[in-house]
Amino acid sequence: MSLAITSPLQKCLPTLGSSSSQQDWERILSDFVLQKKSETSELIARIDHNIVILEHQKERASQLIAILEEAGGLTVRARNLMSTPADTEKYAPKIKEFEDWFKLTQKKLDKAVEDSAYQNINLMNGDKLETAFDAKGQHKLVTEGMLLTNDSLGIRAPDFSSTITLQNSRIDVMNAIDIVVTIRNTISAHLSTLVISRDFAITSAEMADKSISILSQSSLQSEMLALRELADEGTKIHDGESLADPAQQEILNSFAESNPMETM
Amino acid sequence: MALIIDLKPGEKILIGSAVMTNDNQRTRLHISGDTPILREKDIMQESEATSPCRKIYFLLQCMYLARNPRDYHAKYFTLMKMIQDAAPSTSIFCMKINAQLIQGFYYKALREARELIAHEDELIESASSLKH
Repeated sequence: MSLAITSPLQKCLPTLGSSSSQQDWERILSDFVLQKKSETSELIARIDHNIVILEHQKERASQLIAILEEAGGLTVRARNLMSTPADTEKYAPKIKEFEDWFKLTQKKLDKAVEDSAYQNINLMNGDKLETAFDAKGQHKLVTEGMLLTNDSLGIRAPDFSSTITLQNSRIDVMNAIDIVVTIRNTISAHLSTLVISRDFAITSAEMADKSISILSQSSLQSEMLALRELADEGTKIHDGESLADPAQQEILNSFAESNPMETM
Repeated sequence: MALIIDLKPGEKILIGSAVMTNDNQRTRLHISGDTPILREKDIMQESEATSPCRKIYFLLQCMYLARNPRDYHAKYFTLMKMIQDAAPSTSIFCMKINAQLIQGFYYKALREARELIAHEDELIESASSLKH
């Protein structure tokens, strides 16, 4: 049986010499695959763990936004009762009631921030979550949290005594919503990144499993023939359709074409 | 950290979804930000993806350029598994490519894919010479 040792494979596995025997070849490849499999399994566990945390934290950010929207709604309802000085006076008790409810939502917000920890991580309280992609932690995705209490978000104590001071509360709440939405978007983006990473990690782990069982049966001849066959099948792999979506095909076409130039 | 790229006269470069063509003198570009960058020599047209491993390179290139790389995952995983079944020795390269993709490093994955293509070329070449 001929060995399928190529120069790229030797470059990839320096311990694999050109004179290595079939047994050496199988052992070195198998060691490599087993090590990769072990690293990948650990990575999948880390990613799964952090996906659960991020999903929870995203849900908590949505809850904070709901509380802030409730506060914003109170400012609108109060403002609707203040269209004229006479109305302001007439509805003063109701307006005061809205102000008190606003204070309650502020308390609710601070309590919700405090209660947002999950697995000892609270991004709503300024913690950060790190997902290391390698065993040494040299490459990692860091999800930075932020303290989202009233003080940190700059929400002042409410004063619904005039439309101007009421508007301050409205502005504070809208700014706070923008900040929390940004945090939630960051969490969502990092969740997507981790889900994609998990897809590749799972495929890698499956490939490693399969490699262990089929590497010993491979030979240069059999690999060459199978690759040729696969190449001949060519378009069958993708049903004769283009591999590229129209958007990417357009970019590649524009690279191939020499378009007429126009000076701006 | 900005990326520094020296362009030869007339050389093309893809930055994001825009193709830039250098004028008739050498140019040095300093590029910062997170957008796909491919030099002329790195670009593979679909017509050049004539072998299974070249198709992998082409798919990786599409992922790198796409707003949503996940659109290509199914095609990529299917082809990757077919290649592994056909030539188990490619597994090592496939795993190295995936290791880059796990971290979102599409450009580095393309570099690993070049090694996969070189392996494929050498396999086919060696087997052909064995035949004769």
